[in-house]
Amino acid sequence: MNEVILSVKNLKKYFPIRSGVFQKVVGHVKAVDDVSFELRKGETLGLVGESGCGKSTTGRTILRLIEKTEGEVMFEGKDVYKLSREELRKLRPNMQIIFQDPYSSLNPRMTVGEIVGEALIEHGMANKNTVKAKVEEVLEMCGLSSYYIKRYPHEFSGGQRQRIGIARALALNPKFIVCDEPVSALDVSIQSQIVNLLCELQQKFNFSYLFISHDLSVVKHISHRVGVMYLGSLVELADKKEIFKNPIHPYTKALLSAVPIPDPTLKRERIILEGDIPSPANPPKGCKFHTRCPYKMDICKEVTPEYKDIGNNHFVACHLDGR
Amino acid sequence: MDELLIIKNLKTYFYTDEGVVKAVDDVSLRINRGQTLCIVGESGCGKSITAMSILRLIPDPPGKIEGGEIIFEGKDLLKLSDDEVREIRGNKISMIFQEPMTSLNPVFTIGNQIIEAIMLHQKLDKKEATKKSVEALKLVGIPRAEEIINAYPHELSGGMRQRAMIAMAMVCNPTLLIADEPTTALDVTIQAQILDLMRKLKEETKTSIMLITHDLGVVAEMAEYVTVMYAGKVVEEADVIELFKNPKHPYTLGLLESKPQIHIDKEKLYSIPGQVPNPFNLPKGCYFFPRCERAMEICKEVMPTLKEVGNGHKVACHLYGGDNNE
Ligand SMILES: Nc1ncnc2c1ncn2[C@@H]1O[C@H](COP(=O)(O)OP(=O)(O)OP(=O)(O)O)[C@@H](O)[C@H]1O
Ligand SMILES: Nc1ncnc2c1ncn2[C@@H]1O[C@H](COP(=O)(O)OP(=O)(O)OP(=O)(O)O)[C@@H](O)[C@H]1O
Ligand code: SF4
Ligand code: SF4
Ligand SMILES: [Mg+2]
Ligand SMILES: [Mg+2]
Repeated sequence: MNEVILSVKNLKKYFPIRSGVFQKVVGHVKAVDDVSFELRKGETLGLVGESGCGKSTTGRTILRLIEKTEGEVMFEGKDVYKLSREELRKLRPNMQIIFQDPYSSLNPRMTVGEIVGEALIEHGMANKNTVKAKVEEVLEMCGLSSYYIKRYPHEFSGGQRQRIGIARALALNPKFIVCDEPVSALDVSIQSQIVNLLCELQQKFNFSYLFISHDLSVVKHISHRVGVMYLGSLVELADKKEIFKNPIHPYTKALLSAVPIPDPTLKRERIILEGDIPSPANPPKGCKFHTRCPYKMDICKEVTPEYKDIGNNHFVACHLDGR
Repeated sequence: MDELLIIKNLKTYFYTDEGVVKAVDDVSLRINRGQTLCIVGESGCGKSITAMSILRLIPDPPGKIEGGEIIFEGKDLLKLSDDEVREIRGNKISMIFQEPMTSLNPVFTIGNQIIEAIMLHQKLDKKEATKKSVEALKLVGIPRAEEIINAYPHELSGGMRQRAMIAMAMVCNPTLLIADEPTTALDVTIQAQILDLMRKLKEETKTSIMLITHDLGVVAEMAEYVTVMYAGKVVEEADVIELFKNPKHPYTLGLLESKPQIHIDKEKLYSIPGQVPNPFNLPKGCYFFPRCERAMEICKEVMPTLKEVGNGHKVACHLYGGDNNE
């Protein structure tokens, strides 16, 4: 693993909150609040965190599917936010996304063949004669038989739709894919098939993935490094082995303790987080996690802990620092 | 035993240009009062269609319930009028759909949708219903619930939408809660919270739960009884402890082996070889035959039937019970 393919610096995305008849802006949802990381060629960075903490927004802002508020996104040395529309269009096949919600991301009036084939033709990667074979090949790869090619999204089960979205992204042979909960709607046997496929493609073509998922066992399997987000910010990021063996941030610890284990006779000790999830429009002062942290100290309410490397490229933002 | 829902020989088919999809093919199952039944199975095996058949939500055409009975509190839902079914839906039986966007209306605010559901089923006035909606949203862990009731579905994250739906489904204290992959978009801490909430609902109001999930960890935690489906059919069912201790059907064994586990490292994940059979061209014998590592001659020709093999454990496979002559 070598060259950096993607570098994100101090990325912020704030959504305005509007209210009243005049839709006046009364505040902002700080969905992504100062996120920085790098991704290398052939690397998978897992991204986990509470629902609503800004994972999808991070992914979508990186790809410029929605506009950033602040910060910098460099892809292969180019600033994604300084590209013209045409340059961005050319770059598109290289940066793809598998959407979290397959239902709303597939055009209901297009057949599966058209959905997967459209972009291939648009980007000149297939023509009218070759597109069918290519589409069939990708569908098969994703565990969908080619007899599905003429059917419409609503005729599929949830997991099948998910795979259509995966096929659409993979068809373009991208260098970088934001995988937003790509396997969460799949049963485990197909899940393992897709996870194996993503790993294989990575080994063959050196793909890089930003892999968003709440299934920590899958994240653990597929990632090289894992980042943990809370209320719009990264609170911990480290090598996979390190983070699962030696989690430092109290939120990461709580997260790991909540993973269900397939054994009905097992009763485990869980760290149950007390308190409500704070609003990203009005995050707590000091450490954003202090309202729910079982280890909080006085300083945590006042001073924001710095996100820093505590050795071995293990980044963490907590006053405890593990010592 | 006190049975709340009995499904007998349900058949739900789709008529497409290429042929008939037997999405649910002769499925029988039962849920007792206060019980949690989990349904697991391959993507596309008919879990959601089974659930939607109960609420009579199958789009017709192309779908049709071709046979069977769905007895809920002693009445066959398939024989009720549309009005009678509507009365039950969202009231006695409520459903959390797999894809929240299919049931949240994009042009109404979240609040509008929950408040309306409450007013419809609980005869509360708008003010009380609003208060109750905010409480319900807080209960499922949505921060700034007072603001979120004024937000539109697209302004919520995937998991927030899912929780809004859960709130909507639970707020009316249903007798039967059908939850189709309710926690797929949720992180584990919120998942734990939602599962807890469902357990509480069950204890306090004796609600029965039909939980569709592919997460075997969730099954282990929630289920009393488990039904495993494959290609529109039930292939195995048992008490949850029995099923995990003593899985029998080769498909179930494959499922259990495919699951990555947080405390076990593997180079490559196990994956059941081959693919789900083409629904228009199902094998003659056992539907799992083309992928089964233990297949025998007979499996190719004869469809195994569901047979009891002891301990209330039922399995449809020729390896068990000497089911060779049908
Ligand atoms: N409107 C439709 N027209 C044709 N076929 C359909 C239609 N709706 C569903 N099907 C088919 O019925 C089968 C069962 O679908 P169902 O949604 O019940 O699967 P599922 O078990 O819930 O899968 P998943 O785990 O992926 O959600 C699938 O093969 C699907 O393609
Ligand atoms: N278009 C939008 N307008 C306003 N707020 C938005 C919009 N999109 C997202 N948000 C808000 O931004 C925050 C982060 O959302 P995001 O979808 O990134 O979360 P997530 O981490 O992907 O969560 P999940 O795991 O539930 O998918 C949420 O509070 C959400 O309500
Ligand atoms: S900084 Fe303080 S409140 Fe925040 S996670 Fe660390 S110990 Fe907990
Ligand atoms: S009946 Fe035969 S093919 Fe089917 S699961 Fe059993 S052994 Fe395998
Ligand atoms: Mg998301
Ligand atoms: Mg389904």
